[in-house]
Amino acid sequence: MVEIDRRAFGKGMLGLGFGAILLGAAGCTSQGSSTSKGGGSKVLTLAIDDEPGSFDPAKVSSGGSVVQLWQACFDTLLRYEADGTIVPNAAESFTFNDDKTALTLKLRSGTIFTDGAAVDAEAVKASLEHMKSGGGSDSSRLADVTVTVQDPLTVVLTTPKSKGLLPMFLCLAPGIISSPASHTAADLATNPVGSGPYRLDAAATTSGDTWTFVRNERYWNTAAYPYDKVVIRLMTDITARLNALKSGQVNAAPITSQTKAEAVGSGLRVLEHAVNWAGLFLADQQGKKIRALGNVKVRQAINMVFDRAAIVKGLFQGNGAVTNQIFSNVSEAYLPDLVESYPYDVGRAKELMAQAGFADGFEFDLPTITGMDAANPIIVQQLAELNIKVNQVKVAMNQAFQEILAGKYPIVYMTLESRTPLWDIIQAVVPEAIWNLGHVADPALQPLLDRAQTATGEEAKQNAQAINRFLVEQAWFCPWALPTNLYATDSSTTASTYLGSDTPYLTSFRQA
Amino acid sequence: MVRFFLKQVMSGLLLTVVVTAVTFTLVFSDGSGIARRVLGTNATEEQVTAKVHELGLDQPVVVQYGKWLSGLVRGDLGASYFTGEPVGAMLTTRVPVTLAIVTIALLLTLILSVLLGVTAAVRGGWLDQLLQVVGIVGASIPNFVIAIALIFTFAIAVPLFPATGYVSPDVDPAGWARSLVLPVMAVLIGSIAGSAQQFRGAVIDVLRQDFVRTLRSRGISERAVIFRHVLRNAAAPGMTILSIQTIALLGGVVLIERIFAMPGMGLLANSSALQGDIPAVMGCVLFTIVVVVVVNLLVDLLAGWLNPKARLS
Repeated sequence: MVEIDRRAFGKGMLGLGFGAILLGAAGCTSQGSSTSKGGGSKVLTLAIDDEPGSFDPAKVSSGGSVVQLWQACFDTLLRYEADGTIVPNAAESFTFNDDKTALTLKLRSGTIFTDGAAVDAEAVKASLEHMKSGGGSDSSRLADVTVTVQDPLTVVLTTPKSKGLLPMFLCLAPGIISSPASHTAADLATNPVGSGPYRLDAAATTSGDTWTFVRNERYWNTAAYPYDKVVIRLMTDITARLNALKSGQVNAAPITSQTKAEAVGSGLRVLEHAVNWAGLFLADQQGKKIRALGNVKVRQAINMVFDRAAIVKGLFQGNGAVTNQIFSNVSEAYLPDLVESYPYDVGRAKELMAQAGFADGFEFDLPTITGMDAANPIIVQQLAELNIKVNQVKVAMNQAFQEILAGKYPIVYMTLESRTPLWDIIQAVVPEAIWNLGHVADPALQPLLDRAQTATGEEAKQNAQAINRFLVEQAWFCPWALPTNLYATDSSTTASTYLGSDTPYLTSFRQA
Repeated sequence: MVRFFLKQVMSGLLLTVVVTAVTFTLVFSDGSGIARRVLGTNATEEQVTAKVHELGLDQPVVVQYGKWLSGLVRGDLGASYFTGEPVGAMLTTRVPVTLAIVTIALLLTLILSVLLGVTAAVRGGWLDQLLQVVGIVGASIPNFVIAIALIFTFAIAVPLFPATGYVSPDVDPAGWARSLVLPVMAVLIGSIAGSAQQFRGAVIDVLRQDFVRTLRSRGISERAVIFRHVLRNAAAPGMTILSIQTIALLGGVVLIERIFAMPGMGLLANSSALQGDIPAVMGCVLFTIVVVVVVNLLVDLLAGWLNPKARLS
């Protein structure tokens, strides 16, 4: 081997080493203080895990962590408390007629949008009609609603049939009110013009990454929002969210069951509550695509072939509870005595298949989304016990929901949120429900569904339980578990869980 | 040299047109699907049809591509289907993030891998063996694992650098440098490990050639032999590896940007592809092609400048 000039080489390496030290020295300067406070003003920094598409009120979502974005800048007509109780908000009072076909909302006087326009009955009408025609995922919730301006501060929402869930919808995206002028503006998707507690600071916002909101001094209820500034950062990666939490870059973020132990070990506060039920939608209950699924014994057999306790332990890392009902275990509709209806019993399940005349099983296509297919091995393996062959069909995320909602697949694995009994019924049980994938109507169930729309108090509870009993006995679904939803805050921040929401609502955040 | 330059530029432009045309044909083939994704799940057929027409998706793909290309020539890349934001503006905020990571990593890769490769080749012995072992280990550890280890060590255990985020140099130049240290280091280790081995091999090959022996026999100093002659001849294969590393870096930063929550091209490409935001996807594709073409051009020019024989091939 040859020799090179050792001195020259040494100098080069020395230079490199010096450069590295300089680089390190740059890093040794202060990293930037915690985002919880700055310059005397209170700052709340949140991480969200899902990409928000748009600030167009008609396109925003009622679920997921992205709700915090629109809750910062838009006000809703009504609001619900952590336990689901509906209370006035932008509307200072509301009255529902007995048959739940006319909801009268009385607005607060003197409130304005951030462009200076008045929050009045005409603006509310324009907002609700913008939501109806906007084509977003929540537009169907207002599809049959007619808005009438009664006086400058009163609107009446009427529907041709009873719509007991309308007040709840007005607490979510369909209840957003926004400046009518913004509905036709070219920058509707990026420039929210609402009347919420904060307004978007465009100069301090990087679209698709960081959104900064500063206090809207004209908001009617500033006391409910203690922070002067809210910064929301998109972090789709759980590692990034956890690292940001641990290093003090964000105050709160959604976490996962896999990272719960690390979060707890790092001194973070972890909020836990059941939001969704997870399991199979036996969508083809009428047996139109798969004749066997039209037989209740086959559906019951499917319910008995899954070891729910093992699923909670394995699939959800022990974070959750077993269930066989679509109503959460804190719902009035939940029936503890039904939990053992379908014990894990493969032998009994095979007998049921044989009694139904389908001992040889059947074959079906299961939609499979990459990254959301953790349950597939369980489905494939367990249904094979009943000679049911599962064809896993790869579907792109952006196509999957369209195809599933269009009823293309006879059986689907999903998670679906559970809020109030009526919410769950309207979401997944009534024939026109989005998640009644086969749009099945059963004459024996229909009177109970009709009654659910108008019943209140004890009558509503009894009725919801009767519906639940029917669904379990008829095995419309095959719920497995109520996985625990996890959300973490740092030690200086508190927040509250909300019924049916995987994310604490913005109004619940406080400094500890 | 001018002819060589023009030839490289022309082939780069041709590559850009071919790749964008193929991508365009693939992503724009389903007009109603695109419109439905933009409008949401509850859009009516009439709304979908109107949207298809509004976006010009009912025109032949060739016509749509022609419009996109003419827009590109005018500097107009269209607007996001979801936010209405001009794609050019989206790229303006995203490109600096990714380019900063890739460019700094590439420059450091070039300097460090040449130094390490030459040292290993020239000195041999235990140093060479050590560098080879370190190189193999460095190349075999995925960069996201390195990233997590770096964050744990230098952002959480010893909080020297931020764990996530990007700071614009306009706002805070020192903050910008700090925000880049860990992401650059995360991609740098694997990049150097791969490149240093290639430089080492190229230098050893040249050292074995007859002309090196002739140079030495003429009494030319070893330093001049190495830096003036050997490195020049080893430049072409070494530079080729660098251009390949650029493409690998562009792919690697997608994951790095996720882990460091940096608003770069990787995150934009990922989210726009999942959403079906086709104009944004095309902007990302264009960016990638331009970077690959420009880096290849620079590498070819550099290799040609260092070694005139390379211009002929």
